[in-house]
Amino acid sequence: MSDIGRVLLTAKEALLSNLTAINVTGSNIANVNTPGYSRLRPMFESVGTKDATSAQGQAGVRIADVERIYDRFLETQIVEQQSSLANYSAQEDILGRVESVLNENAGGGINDALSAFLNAWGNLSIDPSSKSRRDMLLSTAQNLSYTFNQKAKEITDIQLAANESVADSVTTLNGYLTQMVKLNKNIVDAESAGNSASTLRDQRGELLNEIGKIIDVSYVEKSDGSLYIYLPSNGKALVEGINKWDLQAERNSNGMYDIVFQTDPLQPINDQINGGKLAGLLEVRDHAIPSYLDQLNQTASSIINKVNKIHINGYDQNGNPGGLFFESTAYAKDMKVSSAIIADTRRIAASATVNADGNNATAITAITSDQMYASIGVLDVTAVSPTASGTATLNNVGQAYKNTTTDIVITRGLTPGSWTVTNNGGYDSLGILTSNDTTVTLDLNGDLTADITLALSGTWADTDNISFGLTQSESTASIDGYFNAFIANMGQDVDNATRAMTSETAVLNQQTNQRDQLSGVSLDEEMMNLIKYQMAYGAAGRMTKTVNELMDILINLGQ
Amino acid sequence: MINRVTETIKFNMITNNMFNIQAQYGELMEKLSTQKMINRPSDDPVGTNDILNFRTARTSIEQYQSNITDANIWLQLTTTNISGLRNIVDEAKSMAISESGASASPETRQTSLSTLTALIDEALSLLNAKSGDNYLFGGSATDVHPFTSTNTTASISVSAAQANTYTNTVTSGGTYIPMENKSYVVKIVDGGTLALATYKISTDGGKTWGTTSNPGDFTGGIISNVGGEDIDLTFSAGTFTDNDTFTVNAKAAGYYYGDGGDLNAVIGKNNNLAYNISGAEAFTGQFASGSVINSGTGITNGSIVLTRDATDWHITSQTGHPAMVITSQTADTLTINADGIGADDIKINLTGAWSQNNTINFSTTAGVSSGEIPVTFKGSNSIDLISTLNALKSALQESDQTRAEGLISAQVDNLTNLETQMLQYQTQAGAKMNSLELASSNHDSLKLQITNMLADIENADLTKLITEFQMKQIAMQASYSMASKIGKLTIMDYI
Repeated sequence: MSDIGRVLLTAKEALLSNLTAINVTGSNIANVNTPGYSRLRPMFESVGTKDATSAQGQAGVRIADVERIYDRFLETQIVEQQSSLANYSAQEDILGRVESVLNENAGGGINDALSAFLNAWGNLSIDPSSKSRRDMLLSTAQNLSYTFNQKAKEITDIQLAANESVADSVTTLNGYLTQMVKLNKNIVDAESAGNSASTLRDQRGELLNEIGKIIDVSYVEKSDGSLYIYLPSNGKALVEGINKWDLQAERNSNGMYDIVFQTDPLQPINDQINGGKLAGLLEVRDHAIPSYLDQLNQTASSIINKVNKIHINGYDQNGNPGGLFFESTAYAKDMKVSSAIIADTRRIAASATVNADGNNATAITAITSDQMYASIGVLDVTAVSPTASGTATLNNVGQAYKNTTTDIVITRGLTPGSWTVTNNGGYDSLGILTSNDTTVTLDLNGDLTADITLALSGTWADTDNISFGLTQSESTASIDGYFNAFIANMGQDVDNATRAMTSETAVLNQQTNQRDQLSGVSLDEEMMNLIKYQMAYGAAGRMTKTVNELMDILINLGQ
Repeated sequence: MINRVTETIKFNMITNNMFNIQAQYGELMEKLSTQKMINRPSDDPVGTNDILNFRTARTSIEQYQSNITDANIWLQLTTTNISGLRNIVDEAKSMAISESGASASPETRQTSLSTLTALIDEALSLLNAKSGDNYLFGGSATDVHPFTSTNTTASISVSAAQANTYTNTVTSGGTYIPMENKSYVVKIVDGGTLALATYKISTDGGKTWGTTSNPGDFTGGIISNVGGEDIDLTFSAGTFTDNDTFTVNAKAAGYYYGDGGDLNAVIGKNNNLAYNISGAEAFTGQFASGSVINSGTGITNGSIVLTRDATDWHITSQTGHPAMVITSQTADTLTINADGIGADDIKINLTGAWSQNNTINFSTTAGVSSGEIPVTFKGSNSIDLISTLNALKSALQESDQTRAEGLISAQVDNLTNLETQMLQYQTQAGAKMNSLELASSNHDSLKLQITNMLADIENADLTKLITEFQMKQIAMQASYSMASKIGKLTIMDYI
């Protein structure tokens, strides 16, 4: 048998449940533009028995749960994709800046400056006594040096900016980790008290995305609702529930930041980062830019060495043997016309003989079709000692090489193993790093790394000495060809990064759409829901009214 | 497939598509405004490489062409000047012919003398002409005044380069008489004291080098036999530094201070052209003159022929002087005793390098005790221009009618030969101009080709771009209108 109170109660349940549903719909509508918001859905549930003949026999309704609609698998994919995109996006951004520095297409770059420089030699070769042509040559040489200096500086600046970005990203990441720990705690607290934490979870999802943009992570959600975040390459934890391990940017010997765990500051983890902005920054900072600088330096030092080599064999306008035209250096950033020539352009050795012909200038105009200098070898090692000998091997001479004509000589003192430099062979920073009577290591450029290792054998005595020189061998590429190919390769790198970024963006868009398809708010749907809930609410209201009328009838019955 | 379109999807899709179209639109705008298909290396890395290579090729062609223009100016001046000199020689020849004829008299010779003096001055100014700051006819010594009006004897001098650290004196000695102007260079390889220093020697002005000496070769401070000739350099004590340089200037007798070196211009890839005509080849060379130096009675009427074998001169025929002997001979003088006794009677001065089978003819007149005698010669090299003109000048100054005629007519052959000789070098200059022209027209067509190829890669095809641009414009308008329509479309209008 039905109970009129029961009917009223059911009407009340319906009113409240649909109001809650309208409330939830309101939340959804309000958050239609909130990033990372997962739509909510009220879960209606019937209560009571459906047997209308029993005393309590009426099925009521309640909102069993407000469900947060999302797909954990999609979330994971999006976090990974964010890492991947942020990686290429950082690369594309920085490489794009390098490209604008080395944009030879617009003219006014190194290629043009080099042509102008060589053409000035050509002009001088026809009229070697002309002061104006000599001055013209000087100014084009200075312009060429300046262009190299400037390009090297700008690229180094971009590298340094990328480096600062590394430190900034680490700071940002640490901030995110702190927030993550807080959210973990709040979610665990809320859920263990039986409250809904869907807003917090949405926030945590968004935060995870932001973390993924900086560094690649893998994560698991524990049963208590807390999130554990790891570096996928080595499994080291960044966050475990309410504990976190901050990263830190530590300056290394090159002045660049290494990324380390604060708890383990001596162990760089640079090569264990494979995604996110940090990976992109490190890739460009440590590989792409150093390779560009190296190629720029190779080009500059080949020009410097080639010009100098011809120049010192010529004669200036006073009939003196030519000196260095460019200061001897292996770095584009330090390229400079020698001060003697800046002071007096008569010092330019345009002549191949002591008479004032222009044939040395003619020879210099051909240097770009000459071959690049490629590798460096050691000339004969001569040991002035009757019973001893030595061989030299090169470690990383590379850019330390200078174009000099004198041999390096080291001499042994009275104490066994005590070697000193007696002729630096033109290497002003030459120093002995370690020495004994079997091995001597030498540093050519003052960077305190061993550039040359001498292996000695036999018996050595006081005043014995060893002399050797360094030679540079040539590669098959011409200077022009090398430089032009370098620019083209750099363009290819930028193009690749841009393409990768475009395709990663497309994938991310796809995934975001999938996520939005599931978790996003559709206003149309919400409006329809609103109408649905409103009608149900109206109907429940009408039911209350009907029960009220029934009650009236019932009361009037008693009068 | 999307089966639940949410607001975010809707707007993201619209904005993404709009951005895409805008990006393509922007790219087209850039191409249209720069009119270039490639604006940065990443637009087309391979194309960029081609563009840079083509540009390098084009600028080097431009440089070759500028060199060709410069060399052409030089050669035009050269031809003009040689032609001017030929006119002078021609005029001098007519003068010599008329002054050696019967109608000539001391008065006409006097008039001709002043004309010739002016001609010689003019010749000198043509010989010393410059292109820019460089002497045309100095060979590779473009900064040395090449010709003077007075004869100088052969000499050897040594100078230390200003930049040397060795400041003690260096002097030259030896008996070498240079036949051509030449620079020997001594360069210190390893510095140190005289006992330790090593050096190397160049015989071509410092271009190529002989082997490096051993330490100790310097002991005593003397380098002897520089360049294989009898030239000694004596250094006083002192210390050398690497690359200290000493130049030995060997100057042949005559009027010329330049050398026989080439000036090269790059007129193409691996194509150098020696564009100058050196004074050494065109205007200097052999000359012989003779004079009577003894007032004795040894000289009678006669004519004598001297012939040179590989090393020495011999009398190959003579009339009137059966006892005649050559008493001494050096590279630049022969002394002859006409009767074989007493003092030497005749001296022949030689300029330039003489070789086997060259001959010298001269005639003698009895009773002449001093003054010049007519000498004709047959050499194998060029004839010296200024020597010839000066010989004519001094012949015109001769007061004795017969001797004057002899001396003047002796120069007619020389002047004729000189004309031929200079024409030959004028032609050579013309041939060089031809090869410049050929190179230049090759460069023109190559440059055109390169420019075309460059344009193919680099330049934008405007028709195509504008069509694309209009298509994109329509696409963009469509996306805008769609965005606004979809944005407006809502269920709320219907409930």
